Amino acid sequence: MKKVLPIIVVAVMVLSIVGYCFLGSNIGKNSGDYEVLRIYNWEEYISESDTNKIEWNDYVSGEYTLSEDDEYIDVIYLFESYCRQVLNRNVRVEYSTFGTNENMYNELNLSKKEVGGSVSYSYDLVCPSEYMLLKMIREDMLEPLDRTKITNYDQNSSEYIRDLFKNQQISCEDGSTRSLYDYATCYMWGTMGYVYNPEHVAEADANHWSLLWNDAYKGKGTIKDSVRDSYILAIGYVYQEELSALKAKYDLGELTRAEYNAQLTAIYNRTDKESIERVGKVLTELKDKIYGYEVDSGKKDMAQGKISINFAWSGDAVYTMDVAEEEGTYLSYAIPEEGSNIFFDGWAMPKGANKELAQIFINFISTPESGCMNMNYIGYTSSLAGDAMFENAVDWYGTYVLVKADTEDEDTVLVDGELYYEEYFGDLDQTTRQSMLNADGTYNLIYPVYDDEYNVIGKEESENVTLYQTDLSYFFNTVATDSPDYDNKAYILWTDQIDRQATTQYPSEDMIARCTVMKCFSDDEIRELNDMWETAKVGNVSLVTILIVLGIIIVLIVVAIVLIKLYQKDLIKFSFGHKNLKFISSSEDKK
Amino acid sequence: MGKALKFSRKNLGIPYFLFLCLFVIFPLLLIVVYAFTDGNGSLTFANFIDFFTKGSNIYVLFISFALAILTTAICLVIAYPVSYILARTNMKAGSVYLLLFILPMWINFVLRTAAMKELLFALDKLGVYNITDWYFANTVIGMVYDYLPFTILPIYTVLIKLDKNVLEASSDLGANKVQTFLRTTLPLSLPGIVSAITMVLLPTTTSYVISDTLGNSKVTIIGKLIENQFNIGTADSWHTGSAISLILLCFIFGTMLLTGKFNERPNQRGGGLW
Repeated sequence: MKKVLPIIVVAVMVLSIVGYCFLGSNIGKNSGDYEVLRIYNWEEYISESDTNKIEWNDYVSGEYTLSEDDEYIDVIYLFESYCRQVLNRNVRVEYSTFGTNENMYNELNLSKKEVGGSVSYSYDLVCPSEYMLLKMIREDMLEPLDRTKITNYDQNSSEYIRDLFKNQQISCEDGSTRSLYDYATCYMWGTMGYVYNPEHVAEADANHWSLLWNDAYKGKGTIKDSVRDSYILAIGYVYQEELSALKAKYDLGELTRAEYNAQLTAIYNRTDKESIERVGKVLTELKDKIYGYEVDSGKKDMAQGKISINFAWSGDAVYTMDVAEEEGTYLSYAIPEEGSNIFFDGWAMPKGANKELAQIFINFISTPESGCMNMNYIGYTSSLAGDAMFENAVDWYGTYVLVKADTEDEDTVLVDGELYYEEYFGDLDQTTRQSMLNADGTYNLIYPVYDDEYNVIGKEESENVTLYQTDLSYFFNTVATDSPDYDNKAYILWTDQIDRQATTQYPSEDMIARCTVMKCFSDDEIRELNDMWETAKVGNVSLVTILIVLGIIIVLIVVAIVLIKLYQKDLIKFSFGHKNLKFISSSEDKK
Repeated sequence: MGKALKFSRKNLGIPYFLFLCLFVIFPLLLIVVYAFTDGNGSLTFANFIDFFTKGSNIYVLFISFALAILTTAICLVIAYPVSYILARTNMKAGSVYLLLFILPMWINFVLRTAAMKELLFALDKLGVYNITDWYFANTVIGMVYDYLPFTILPIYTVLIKLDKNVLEASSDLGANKVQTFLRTTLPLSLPGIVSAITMVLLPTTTSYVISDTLGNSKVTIIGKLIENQFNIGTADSWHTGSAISLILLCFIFGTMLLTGKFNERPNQRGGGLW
């Protein structure tokens, strides 16, 4: 018995562990109580809240209160509640997150199961970046979308983004060419550029990629510890003249926007030997000119003022600006003149996914309401457009003013004994705007002062305010310009801040014209780029450093050898001492 | 009775044996298999040839070991006197001091590293330190800070167990304090030193969190190379990564054999962790 019991215990332990590993993921799926939707998303990439778990019916009727210290609603819980209360289905979301596209890809491939010729992975919905989506399409890992099931996305998403997705195509192993549009819906998108502190960095310098190579800013900036992102920066610097010439041509109208963007894209996607070599050279040079490489710490360091320049994704830039603002620092964001990268993260269903449920989720997340919630939480720009999303942008960044009212009605407020109504500057009529305009193009405005609940409680008169108007129609139109439904509505954002959060989240058409999508590199290209990157990160190997380090190590080894020699001599000289030790250690043994 | 006891003793080893197979031997075998194959699964030595034919890799290997040796040496120089003093103070006070020294070990090391960065930044602001340019020094400081407890503990354990009679015998035989230390205490505490080296040398070549946080990612150590290979997502990157791990393992094993040589003593029992 004594022999059997431990074996049984151990066997049970091992079997339960193994069993859990292999079957654990299927237990939920097979049980009739609820359906499981397994979502795999970026970290911090959906509106989450521990306290604000709100039921769908309450949300629709508006009968809910948010907790005091958290203004965000838990979207996942809202979705589960939506399934329960509207679809009458018991759905449980298993939500996991990843840190890099490559990690997601590895994880997905590790979970690959092939049963009877049908492939399945352990997730129903993933949200990687566009190049990874293309790679997955190339490797036939994704299920195509059923457009009749994701009507919300097609109605609410920006026509501009959908067009970009249609243009992203990849040739697959079976010889077909597939489009990203058929496999993924865009969730968030953004650009890359410099976040900088205008107190220390000249705006004119920040408008060029050469900023970080400028000796005036030595040791002040960081770049991404990732070859794909840093390649953009370096290409922009290496081909600065070519890119500037191209832009000049476009500005003069010699090139159409499409031609300009096509040529720009070709330059940014160069992976010939010469380009890689030149990029490697400038990146090696860069190592001694920057503060360091970072993946995540740049946001914090920037907000705390440890660095003044951060090569960043636009969403992180918005976050950094928000945090810095709380500490009284006003940062700016620039997309350099030479052009930059535009990227997308999209929802796609791996092979073998629960397509029906996954598409319900995509449809759910593609409503303007959840678009606003997620965008406000994350900081990246939602792919959703239309009136509701534009209003959200206006709420955040638009300039609101107080205008004198003649008659009292429900919209007017009494401030300092006078009647006013509060209005978004863009909604004012032409004559009212003219009355505020000065001869030099600035405006004299009366800003409202709010209490905690955004009720107007006072006013603040401001003279000579510069207002910027950005035409965002290119993005906020959800209907194709050649479609009969197209109503040619102008979405113009009036704001008193430039190069800050508003411009970062919604760049003007000019800025977006010079942003290009990086292609999905082949394995060979990745390997070459990675070799270049590893060498560049090692930097200029200086002989002096090697010699100093080598010198220190040699000294250490010499000291060690001398010590050992001392010890060994000791043994020879005092051989009886050694016997003594022997005696003592054997006596110790007896204890 | 005796026989039955023996059997159950053996059985008690089964969980560890299974653990060993599952989490030590099996992964190690996997690494070896991966290292000698390419993305298609066919046998190749290319992973190793590629590694050694790339100049920057050799430099990374050099820097990693330079960093590891420097860190270990500084740790020993600081830890030995501390352990010596701690082992000599009376028990009650000694354990309190020891606690103070190993207390940082209970705090998450990422947190500790971040704290060290803040400290260095504060020094930088005061103008006595240059955190931007001295990134190699930052890394060494961070490594020493994080691995010091791992050096103190094994040396202390050996020194505290040191028989006072031996020391008395040494002075009885006419050795002065310095001689006693050099000829008796130091040789007898070698097992502790060797365990300390073992516990510091390998982790410092791979703990890139420290070099990333404090070295601003400007110091590439071999652990970072491995991590990078597992992150670039090409078909054969895992194979290259495994080959680098294996190379590192060989180097470490060689170093351990060397340090082990110094530790070969007759009748040596216990004391160290190794």
